[in-house]
Amino acid sequence: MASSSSSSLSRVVVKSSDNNLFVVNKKVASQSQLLKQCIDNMEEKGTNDVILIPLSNVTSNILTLVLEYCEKHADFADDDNNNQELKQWDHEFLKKFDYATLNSLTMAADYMVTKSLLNLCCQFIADSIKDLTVQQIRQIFDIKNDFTPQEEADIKNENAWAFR
Amino acid sequence: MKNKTVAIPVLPEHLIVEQILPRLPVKSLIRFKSVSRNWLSIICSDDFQKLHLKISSSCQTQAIIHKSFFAFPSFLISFDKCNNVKECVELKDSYYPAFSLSKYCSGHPYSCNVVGSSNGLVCLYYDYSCFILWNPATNQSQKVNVPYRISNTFLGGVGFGYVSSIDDYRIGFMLGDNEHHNNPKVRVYVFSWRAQKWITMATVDDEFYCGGENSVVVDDTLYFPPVALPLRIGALNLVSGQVKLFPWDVFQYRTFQVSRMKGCLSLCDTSYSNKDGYKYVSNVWMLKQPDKWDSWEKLFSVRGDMYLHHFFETGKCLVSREEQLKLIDPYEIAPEQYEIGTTFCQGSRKGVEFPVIRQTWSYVESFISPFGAFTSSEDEDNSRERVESSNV
Repeated sequence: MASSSSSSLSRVVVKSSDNNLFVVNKKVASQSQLLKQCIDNMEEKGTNDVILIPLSNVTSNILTLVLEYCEKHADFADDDNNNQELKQWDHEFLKKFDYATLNSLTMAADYMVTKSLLNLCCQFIADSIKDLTVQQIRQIFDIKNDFTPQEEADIKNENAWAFR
Repeated sequence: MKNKTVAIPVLPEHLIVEQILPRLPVKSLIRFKSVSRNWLSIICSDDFQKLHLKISSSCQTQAIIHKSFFAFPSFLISFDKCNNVKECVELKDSYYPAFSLSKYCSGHPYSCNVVGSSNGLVCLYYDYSCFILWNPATNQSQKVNVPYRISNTFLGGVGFGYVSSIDDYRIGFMLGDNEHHNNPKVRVYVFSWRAQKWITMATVDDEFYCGGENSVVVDDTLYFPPVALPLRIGALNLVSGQVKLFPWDVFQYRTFQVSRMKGCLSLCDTSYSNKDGYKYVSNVWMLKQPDKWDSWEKLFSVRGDMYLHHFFETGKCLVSREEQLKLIDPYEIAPEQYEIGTTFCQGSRKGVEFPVIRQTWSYVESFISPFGAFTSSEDEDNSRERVESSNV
């Protein structure tokens, strides 16, 4: 990819919340709008130092996953013909994680403004909760039931067909 | 998914409300109304229901298939990320058990057709007696009686869709009159979902027939594919009630279907061919500029042993080969790249066979009520005025 910047450096360093450093190719980093914005800002200032971006909200194990995703998508960015393969990869990528990791990854994608990863995670979560019971939903999202038993029964009766 | 009580990071509310809930099926959301007061008010809110429609139209492709003349009312099929058939359910039996046609009409179910599908509302037409506006996802339906009945009529054309300029859903209905052979007349009727009544009635002094079934709404107008010689595309303006006919002389002796693709009127002509081992050739055309009838442009062709059943707003096409269905995206992979003779992978869903497909409609789940817009009584009066005044 042709770089229009004045800086000759093609890599940036990203620091996780637990202080691990990751050297990242600029093209890979640009998959995250947050990182891209940081790089653009620094380059506008005309700095020739190595760009260091601290991410106070993302732990290194989650950052590793986000970067793995960005790397794959950066590889495919110029290749329109392999969309199917990429979609398949996306699906396999998320299947490996437990719920806690998936939540952290979703929040990291939101924080780092990696829209396609955020959409992917949210669709995956939606697909996996759509058949759960109301009680299971409350557990997963840590929600208190603030209906009176009568109110809850009324709502359920009104929509009884959806519980079948 | 595991429900262990170890410190699981809980997602912030904005992600749950704006990103996850709008991706759920309507049926799940109706069930989840009883999760908490907060969820109930979110799921019932207008803003959320609009967001839900927007997200589900953009990230999912679903279609309603009318299988044959002898089955009602069709199948709902959805596709996975790799464009293979993910799920195929019979609308009537397994998915929405409370819906029953006999509630509305004693007629034979064979004479009931889907005549339009838009933003989650499906419009059924029961031969010469009534329409049924049906939201399969919320399990709501409403009967709309035909405005006019005489014995000696023929159906000039029928269709249903969303008219964005007036934020209304409308049924267009044209009845030809066989009684006056010297002076044939076609009566034009338009039903407004917002006003919940038939609002336009006009008569056209021309004998024309716009085809019974597959029509599509683009902008304000309901378009009908050409059916008889000389080939003409019928256009019924759902706001003014005006009818126009446009010549279509590019190809004859083919079957035609119209659809909306990327916001433009599009047309597909299909012919059977014996040349070069091809069985079918379907050409897809688009009217690039709505006000210039000579701006038709050929977009792509689907040939070989694939039969094109329907094309969607996104440009994706539903094709079948050897009774197996698949979605192809000509903008991603050129149709020529699907090798002749190979079997379509059917994803997780195997053995879905469709020997006959009569009609296909795009479908998207929504909360939109067949009973019209939910507005306060004041708003309702205003909107009725607006609808009527726009109908001169």
